[in-house]
Amino acid sequence: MSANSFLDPNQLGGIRQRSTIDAGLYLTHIICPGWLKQCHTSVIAFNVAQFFPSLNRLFLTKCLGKAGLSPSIINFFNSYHTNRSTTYTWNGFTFPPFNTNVGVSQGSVLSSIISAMYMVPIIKTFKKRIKNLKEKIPSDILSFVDDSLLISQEKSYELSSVFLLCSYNIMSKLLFNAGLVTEHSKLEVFYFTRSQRPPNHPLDLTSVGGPVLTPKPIWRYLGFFFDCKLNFHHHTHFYATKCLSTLNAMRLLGNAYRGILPLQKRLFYRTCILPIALYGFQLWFFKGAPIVHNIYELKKMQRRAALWVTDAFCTAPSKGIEAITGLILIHLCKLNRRHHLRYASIPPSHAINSLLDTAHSKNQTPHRFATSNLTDKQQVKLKSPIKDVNECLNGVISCFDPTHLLFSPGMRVVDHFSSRITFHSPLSSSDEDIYAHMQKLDHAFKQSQTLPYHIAIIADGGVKKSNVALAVTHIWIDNHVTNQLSLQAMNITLLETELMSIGLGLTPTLVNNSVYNITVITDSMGAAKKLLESRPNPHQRAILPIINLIKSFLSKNNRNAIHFWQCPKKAEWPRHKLVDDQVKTLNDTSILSSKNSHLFSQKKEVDDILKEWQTTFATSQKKGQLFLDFEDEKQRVITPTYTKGGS
Amino acid sequence: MKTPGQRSPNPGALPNTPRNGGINSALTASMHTANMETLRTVKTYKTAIGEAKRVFFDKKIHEIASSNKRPWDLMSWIKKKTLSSIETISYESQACNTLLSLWNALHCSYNSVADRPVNTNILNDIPQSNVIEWPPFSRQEFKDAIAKCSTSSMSGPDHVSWKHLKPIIANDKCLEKIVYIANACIVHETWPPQFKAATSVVIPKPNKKSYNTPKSF
Repeated sequence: MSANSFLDPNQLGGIRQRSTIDAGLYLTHIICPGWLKQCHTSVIAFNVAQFFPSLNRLFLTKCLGKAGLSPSIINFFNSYHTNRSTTYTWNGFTFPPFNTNVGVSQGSVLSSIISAMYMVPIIKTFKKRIKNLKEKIPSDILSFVDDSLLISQEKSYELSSVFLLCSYNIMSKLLFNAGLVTEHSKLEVFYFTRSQRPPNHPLDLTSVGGPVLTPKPIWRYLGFFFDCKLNFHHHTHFYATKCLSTLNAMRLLGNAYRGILPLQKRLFYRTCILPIALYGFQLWFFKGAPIVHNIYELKKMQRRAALWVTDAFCTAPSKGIEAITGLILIHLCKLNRRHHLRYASIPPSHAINSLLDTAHSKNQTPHRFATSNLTDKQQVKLKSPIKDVNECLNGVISCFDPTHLLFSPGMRVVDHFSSRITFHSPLSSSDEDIYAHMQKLDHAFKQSQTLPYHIAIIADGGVKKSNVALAVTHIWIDNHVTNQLSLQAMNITLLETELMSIGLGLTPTLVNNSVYNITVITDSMGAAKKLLESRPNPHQRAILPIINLIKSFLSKNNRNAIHFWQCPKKAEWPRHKLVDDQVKTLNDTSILSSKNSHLFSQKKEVDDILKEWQTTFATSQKKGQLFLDFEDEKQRVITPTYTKGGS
Repeated sequence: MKTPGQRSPNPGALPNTPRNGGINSALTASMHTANMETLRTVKTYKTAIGEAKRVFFDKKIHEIASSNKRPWDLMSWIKKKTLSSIETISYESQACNTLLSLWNALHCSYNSVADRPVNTNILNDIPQSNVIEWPPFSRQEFKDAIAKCSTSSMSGPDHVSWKHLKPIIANDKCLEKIVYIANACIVHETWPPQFKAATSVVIPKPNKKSYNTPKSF
């Protein structure tokens, strides 16, 4: 569906990779450049009453036809929806099944995508109609399942009120045509402005059958608490308080016999409390944003959590107890950068693409307030989360191709040839299992060297301290190394290097017509499995040529097969050791590289934040007075870390 | 007034006066031994309870933190939603006093929009998208899809949950048959009626002022 661009970019929710955060980010970004151009942002939020049961079957069938589904699939969906029965359960009482012939069934896996497809024609027609009006209305629409927004950005409130009224009128008529009704009681209006006095212009919707709306000081949409100036104080206060009350309630756990271990408490905090506290931080945490108050709220909450985990005195210094608990200081920097990197993987029909620079917009028409549509001066002045996303994506090599046919379900290599690609790895890391595995590997290797049309590839990779990655491959035929290949790269991770070395060996072998059976021996089975991974991953562009070759190799003949064998480093298998030694001894010449790989950037973020934490902790003045250094068995000072249960 | 630190006197003990001192002392001694025995029994009882609780909680904690790795089971998100038994649900200004009327009220309010008219003309303006290819389902797809399903999710009316299906598909022959059924559904353009039965568990919507209409659930 994303591939044939049927889905509308401004429609989020119910579709993979279109989350509430994206909706919030979209809204936050378009407000910021609007302010630069002296435009206020006015918003009407409306909700469709009883959305899922209201979806009309006839309308849906036509929608599916427009989406490009074949008649047989549409007939299947018709059969899927008709003659359903539901049993109601109330406090343990159940009643015999009722026939339900309306809408799509709630809770079904297909409901979310079907409901998204139902909204597509409505949004597309809306956009078309406001474009074709005599007086052009520059309104915007954003829809999250059944919670939709009409956005108008104008210099005067009166003008935007008129625009909003017109667009709401068009929208409600379109929804009525599609058998949907908006809930008037849930209509809301909100204004975003930087002026000192919060605007209080009522919006009269009586002419279109709605109420008179007055803005509230705080507006809640998709769990975000928006205020006029976008400072999100209420938002962080709400979520930090929610977490504090959970933490207070969790003290009860300490009273249950013997309580729970600090390690378990920490696990609980990180899994259940931190995600709530940090919900929607991407909206207020960006370069140049006023974040002092928001961070203060979160730090307060984390301090309480650290006290609960360690059972320390309430006067204990925060940095110390946080280091002991292994709770990193609120690490929004890392999470935020990771979130920015996520936008490299979004499909071309995503809403955020229309706000990015032309280099990253994936051929989508830029929005009126996209960064590419701003003047240089405005770009310098702009402070918005999307600006940070742009900067982050500039330093990363684009590596995702989620809509490529070779990665779509049913067309992948694993779907057709899964029986002819095998993976062999030891059952466990115990010495006995490794020994047994190595015996089998030896046998397989000998067979590959004695039988005709068989070939073996031994691959290994390594990353030096200077971030130079080396991949080396030996190709074995008839007990001789016939080919030695090596390749260098810069700023990539070890996994990518291993993948590169496997690819290096496979590329010339797969095109060789006199080969039927390939045995690949590597020390990283994870890298080998990445070749056939079905989910979108940051190796997609790199492995695409190899996958193409694998597909043509396996489809050439039914006896063609590829076997991947893991050779653990500690087994020190002599032939693999040859390759490994070559990796270690090869001279590395550093190459100039302005961009990093996706995984390398992710790793760098983690390393940087850990290093920063350790340095601030080591140089902290309070450390000597209120908190002492810990030493390990070898009398080395323990540095704080949050990995593997903390320090 | 009793301070928190004081222990209350034994209400069963007789006052110790000089006139009946001998009997009293004998009585007190026997009662003391009886009390001691009771105390001992209480102590054993409490220890037994304490140990049982300890074992239970340790098992529970271990289960949550280590074996199933779902710490969020401790949160209120996954708790059973209880329905208030005080408010009467009224539908179309009539109170639902019997179970039958309640089922009807629920069913009618969730399916109230059955015959709403639609105008499909708005679809004429939408450009026709390219035809999407529909390759048959593969085994790998089925495996990937089922790997993501939670084992603790509720089963349907047939009581077969993902927990049961996961070991079944480990067998290649079973997997092949199941994928065959899925592909047959698409080829024959039908969805078997056995899969169409669903169970709706009625749960209250959060933060509602009143729960007296079916729409609050």
